[in-house]
Amino acid sequence: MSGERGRHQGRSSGLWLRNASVWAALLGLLLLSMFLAYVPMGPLTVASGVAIAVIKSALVVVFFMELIRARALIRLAALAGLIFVAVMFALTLADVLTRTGKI
Amino acid sequence: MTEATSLLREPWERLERQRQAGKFGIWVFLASETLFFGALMLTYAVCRVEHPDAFAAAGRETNIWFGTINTAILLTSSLTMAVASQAAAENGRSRRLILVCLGATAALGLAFMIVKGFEYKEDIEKHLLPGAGFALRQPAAQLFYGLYWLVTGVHAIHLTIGIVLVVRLVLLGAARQIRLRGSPELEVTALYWHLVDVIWIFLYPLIYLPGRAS
Repeated sequence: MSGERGRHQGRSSGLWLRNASVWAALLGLLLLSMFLAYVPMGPLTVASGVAIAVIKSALVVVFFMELIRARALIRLAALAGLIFVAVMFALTLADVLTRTGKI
Repeated sequence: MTEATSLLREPWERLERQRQAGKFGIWVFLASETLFFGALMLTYAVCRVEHPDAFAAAGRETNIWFGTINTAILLTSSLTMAVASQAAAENGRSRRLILVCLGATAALGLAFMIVKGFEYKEDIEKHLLPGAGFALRQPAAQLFYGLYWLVTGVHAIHLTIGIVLVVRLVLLGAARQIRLRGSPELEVTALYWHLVDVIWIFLYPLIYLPGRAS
């Protein structure tokens, strides 16, 4: 009985440990992005905020949403959203960023 | 009644098929949500490219502490939701752990909304609502705040829906009306919750970080 309880607690701490380490990384990245926002780096300041957001969201999607263990069909569905957003951004910004005058 | 049959819904004949279909369905929905918020963020990007100085001035007016605390709250709610969902998926986990984690997730979601309420109050007092009497002199700063109210408002609606879904699971689970262990409903709700978190992760640098270094 006590052995079973010990095993149960052991597995429970494993569950918390693997998720809490992702959470700690997320909070660390949050503080890093806040800190970098005050460092004058020109265009890199904006880029650092967005890049850290990409890393944080990847951590959530892969570990918390368990895309790492998902079937190929689920990964395709997730990828479809990303691809269409990428197309939307690429086509629009290809226009906006190459204009010479104001809109 | 076995565990599988108590969770099984029409028209599925097997729980595994039901689980896969539910998961696929929510991911397709989440992909459409990504496009919805993606379009709003693209609008923001285009406006910011055109009016970098006004967006920097507008970003400086936001309260970075409210934003950072709220981001930390949502990230923590994703942790408790992930533990609840993974505990429900594994055999032999206590029902109590799942219920406590779901309750904590809903409470953290509510805490986010309360902080956001204080932030909105401060924004209104600082005359950051676009229109007559707007606080900043750059006209394009109103574009920033137009998008700010729209995007954070739509996000808050999404979060409210998430809180209702999680509270529903807590109440039904506590009353033993549904079985939380192995529940496809819990899995789908968790995926929705995490996406609401992911959207906020992107909103944070766009809303709270511009103009801090200049």
